[in-house]
Amino acid sequence: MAMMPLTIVTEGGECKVRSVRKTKTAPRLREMGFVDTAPLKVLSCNSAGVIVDLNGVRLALCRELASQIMVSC
Amino acid sequence: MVQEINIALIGNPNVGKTSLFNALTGSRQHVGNWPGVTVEKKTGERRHQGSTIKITDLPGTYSLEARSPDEKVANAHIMSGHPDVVVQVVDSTNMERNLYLTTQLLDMGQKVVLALNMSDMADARGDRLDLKAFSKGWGVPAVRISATRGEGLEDLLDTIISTFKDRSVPSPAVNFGAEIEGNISEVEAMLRSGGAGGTSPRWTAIRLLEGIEKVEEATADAGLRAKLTAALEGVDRDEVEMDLVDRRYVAITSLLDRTYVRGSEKRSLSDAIDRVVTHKYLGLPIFLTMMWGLFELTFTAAQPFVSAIGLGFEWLAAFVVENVQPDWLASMLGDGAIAGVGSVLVFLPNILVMFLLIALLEASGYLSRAAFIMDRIMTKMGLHGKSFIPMLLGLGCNVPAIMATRTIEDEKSRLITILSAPYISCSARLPVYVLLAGIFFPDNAGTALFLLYLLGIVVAVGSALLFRHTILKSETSPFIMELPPYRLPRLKNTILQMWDRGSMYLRKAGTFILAGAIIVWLLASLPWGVEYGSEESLVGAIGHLIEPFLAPLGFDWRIGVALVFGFIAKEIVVGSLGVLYGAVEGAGLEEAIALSMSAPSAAALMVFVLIYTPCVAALAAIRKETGSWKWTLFSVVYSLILAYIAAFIVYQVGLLIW
Repeated sequence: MAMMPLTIVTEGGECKVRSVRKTKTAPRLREMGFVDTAPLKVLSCNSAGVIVDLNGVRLALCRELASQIMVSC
Repeated sequence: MVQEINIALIGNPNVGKTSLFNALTGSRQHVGNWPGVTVEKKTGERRHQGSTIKITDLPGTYSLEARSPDEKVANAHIMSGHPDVVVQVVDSTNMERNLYLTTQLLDMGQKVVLALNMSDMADARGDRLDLKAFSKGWGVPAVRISATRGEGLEDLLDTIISTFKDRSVPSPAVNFGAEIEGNISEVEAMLRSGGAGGTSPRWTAIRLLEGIEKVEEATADAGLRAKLTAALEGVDRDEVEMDLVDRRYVAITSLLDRTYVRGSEKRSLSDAIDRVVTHKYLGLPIFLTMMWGLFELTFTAAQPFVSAIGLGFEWLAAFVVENVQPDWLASMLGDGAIAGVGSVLVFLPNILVMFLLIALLEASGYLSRAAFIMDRIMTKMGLHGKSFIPMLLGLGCNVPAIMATRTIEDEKSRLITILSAPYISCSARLPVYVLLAGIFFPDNAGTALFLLYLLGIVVAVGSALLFRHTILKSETSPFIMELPPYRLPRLKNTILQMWDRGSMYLRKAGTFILAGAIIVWLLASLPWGVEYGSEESLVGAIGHLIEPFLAPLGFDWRIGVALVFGFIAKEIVVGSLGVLYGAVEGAGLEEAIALSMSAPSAAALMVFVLIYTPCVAALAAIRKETGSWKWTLFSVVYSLILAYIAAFIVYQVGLLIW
């Protein structure tokens, strides 16, 4: 199972959260549900950022944050 | 026996706390379908079974760590407000994430009741929850409710009272494992023996271990500090923090696995809409079209009513002047009160239409999408995606806009937004634009208005860029926001919201603006015997004092007076013009203005009104939100200078062109 940043998952791709890179915003991301093995689906992905369905919740995040989230498909 | 129970409503953003608050207390607090509508706590009461339940509605929060100002309000209230029972409002369609907050509340030792809101939507999706087993799992009573339909409220109130009477002490929901629990107990015991840790030594111990709270904040006792510091040494705080989050989610999953089955998703409609409105290329054009439509409708849909009301007031003023004795009273009513207030009230239809459209946007769920679409552009301009919502609300009134900045986590981004938001044209400036554009640019009035709003945005964005690169240097903070499902706006709520805001405009017209109009009339009539509104009157004296400064902008003394009084509220600019130009013999307000102003000076005036200090209320809001007179004063001086320069350029260039 290869790990990759969320930014390179294509639209419609389903994966699981593996880790969040340690940054200032990491605690907030984890609180919002980006914890290990949380199921995730990429709904939309463009230059502005990524919209994901995380465990049934739709979240929009900018590319910078998305690149800190490692997932595996 | 009558007893008083203090409860707090807490929960994630946009789960319907305020809807529940309104349903319980019968009040009409502002609700909307976007995260961050409530930024201040609100209180209300409800009587039930002979008890008085005092309810505090708190801003939404994902966790009790408090990262943005609105979340801090919620945390501070739980920590020091001593609620008897905490009612956590939960979005039933999104249990996992919502229960995260519950685990923290239980760590704090709070008596919690879960109000499972939007249960009707969970039912529609086919969710199945074993309520009894679920409540038993953590020992937290849960009640299914639907705040908007008023279902389950009696049951909720009964549960609140029985929980209040229950003597048992709530226990933590999550076991963090032998090692961390050992650390927690050790630190907790130290805190207890030293009398520190406030109402919840366990919670304080956890925060100390996570490194969120500093030892110095926890106690002033030097001996205890030394002991705590020693105990915390060798603890990898980041590791603990990460571990705690994971363990909380594990506990949540284990509870839900036993008691809950999620139905099949039927959100294809929301997803389909999102695919279009957040599309790579279509997103921005759609957004811009909607904004353009908002302005277009604000003017066109309201126009017939505006004309009708205008005629009504003209007739009324004429009637009063002819039929009221003595003459001075007729003049005060006709030239002062009616001319002043009437010239402002005429625009009520425009304002109602705009408020209606904003209310529809808020209720639909589109706002958070727009914030996302705008994030990249806003970031480039020194703002933040979340700055967009305050800016949009600013079209109605700058005061709620300045308050809405509390959802922005980063202090500098927030300050920048507060300082630039007032350049978004609020509804009070609309009358000035409509009046002048109608007179001087009748064929292109709509375009003129659009350009003014655009100029406001340019000034706001330009100022933000300037601040970001000079006095408030910093990197922009990353963007994350929940996108709520689209909902069909409820007609009743939308109309009520429009009316609540519209009636504020009416109240302002009946108080501030009426008073302003009468003061201007009085100054225009004094000293007694002088010709009304002439240059010999007091108002003429004031006007002539400032006229030299304003001459380069093409403003005569009357405009100077109007601008001075416009500090109180911008509508007064129009009200004062109504009073002062009403004095010009044998002409209506519009002809009088047309005679004594040129197109370049009218354009300069509109630009000046757009940019200079919004009003006393907005300044009070800036003072309150920045907590600093320095920034408030800065905002006044900066906007005055900017307004002067911009109006000067418009007038001088205008003279060359026209």
